[in-house]
Amino acid sequence: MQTHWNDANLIAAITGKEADRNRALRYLVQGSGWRLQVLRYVVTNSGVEEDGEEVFFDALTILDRNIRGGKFEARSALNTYFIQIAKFLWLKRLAKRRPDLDVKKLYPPDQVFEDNIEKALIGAEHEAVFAQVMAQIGERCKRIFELFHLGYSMIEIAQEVGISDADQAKKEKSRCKKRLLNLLAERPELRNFFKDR
Amino acid sequence: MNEETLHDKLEQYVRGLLPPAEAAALERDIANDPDLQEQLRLHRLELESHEHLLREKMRQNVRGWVAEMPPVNTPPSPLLFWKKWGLPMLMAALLSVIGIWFFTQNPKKNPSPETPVAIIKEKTPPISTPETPIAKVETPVKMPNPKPEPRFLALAKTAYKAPQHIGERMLKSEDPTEKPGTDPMSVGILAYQGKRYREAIREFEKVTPQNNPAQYARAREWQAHTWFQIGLQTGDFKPAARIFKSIADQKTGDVVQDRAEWYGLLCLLPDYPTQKKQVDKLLLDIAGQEFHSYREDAIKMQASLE
Repeated sequence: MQTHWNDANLIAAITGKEADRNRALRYLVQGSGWRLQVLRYVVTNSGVEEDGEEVFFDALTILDRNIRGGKFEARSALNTYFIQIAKFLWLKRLAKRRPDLDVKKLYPPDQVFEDNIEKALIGAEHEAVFAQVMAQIGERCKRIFELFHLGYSMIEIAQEVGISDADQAKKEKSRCKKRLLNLLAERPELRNFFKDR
Repeated sequence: MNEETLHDKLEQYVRGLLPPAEAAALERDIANDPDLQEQLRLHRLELESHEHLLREKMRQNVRGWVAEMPPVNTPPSPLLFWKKWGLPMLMAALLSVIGIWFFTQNPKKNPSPETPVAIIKEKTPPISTPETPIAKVETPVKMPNPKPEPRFLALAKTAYKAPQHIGERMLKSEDPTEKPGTDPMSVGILAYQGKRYREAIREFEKVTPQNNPAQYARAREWQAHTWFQIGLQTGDFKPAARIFKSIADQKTGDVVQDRAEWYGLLCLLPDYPTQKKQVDKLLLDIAGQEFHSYREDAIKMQASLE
């Protein structure tokens, strides 16, 4: 039977296991109509479809992160929150592209909301550095990090990755982590990462 | 505190999982220790790199999920509209002004009522001679398709936007090593774009739920569009209407359903005098849904039909 998605079960699935999370995200992309809302908004506000697709993806990653990080406080419906993020992202891009536009007139600023979004946004240069670091870390470590980051226990990580037990999984994760911390320490581009944002 | 314990503590701290009292103590230590400050920075970067992993995975997934979907129908960008049509529209407006001026300056004399304006040649039946035999005109046994009303046919034709851009997107594979145009979908789309509609139908029919479940829905949609094109030539929109209806009846609740409802309606439109009730109901349904992809088109259509 098809899931009847609502805000509560979307949030539960996104903060849950990987398969449930993917189901929820897939629904948001394919079945919710949110993508179309974003595309239409962007296209009717000086953008093209490709801009809309990029804004939709960025908004989805921010929504996902803020839900997992507990920053979505359910003061509004999930869709309202999502569209608010997408509008903000598009107008921010538009302001860069067309400095003559008074974006604040189109979208009254909300400092708390904007701070939450800004913190979740990663610039392309920094993304590239993270990608280079991760390329050196190995697929197995990456998988362990993904699962750990999604809240899997050491036993679950052991089962997923094919490690004998939880203790071994913890040791392997520690080895991966040390390696990652060393690689991150070697990147001067990331020195001011938190100040730049 | 050994290195591992410190790492665990910092990890919990950056994830907001450390109890408040412990977090406060750690913050005091960090404030006085540059090494700890650097460790904290690296742990925060570690968290960001984990986020990066999830983002990249999501990027791949979203790309795949979007590719599975039929195209969306977004309104044309006003900027692009003016870029494309601004000059021609200006030219047309200028020409109209010049035309009006010309005719007001050089009014044509009214023909006198006695003078016949035009002589309408009466059609006389051709005479058959042994040299020029007249082809035998076959009386059709039955007329299965209602003859489309020209006005409504024109309306359907104007409102219909052919889905060529799906084809372009599908044929332009991101993989440069992949040869385009070998699978039935690509061959069908190429045939459609070349207006070889019967051939296109044959190709799309090769995609079945068994041999290609991922492409089947799209192939069905393409079939319906191809039948629509055939309908424009033959006046028979029933096959297209049937397929669009079956897609809409699946109630996917997304753009696929929106599209099927809209195009299904366009299939009924040429026969508006007899399908009025159904067309009006469909238009009312679509116009009444705030986020329906074709809401604005439906509202415009309602106005055109009034």
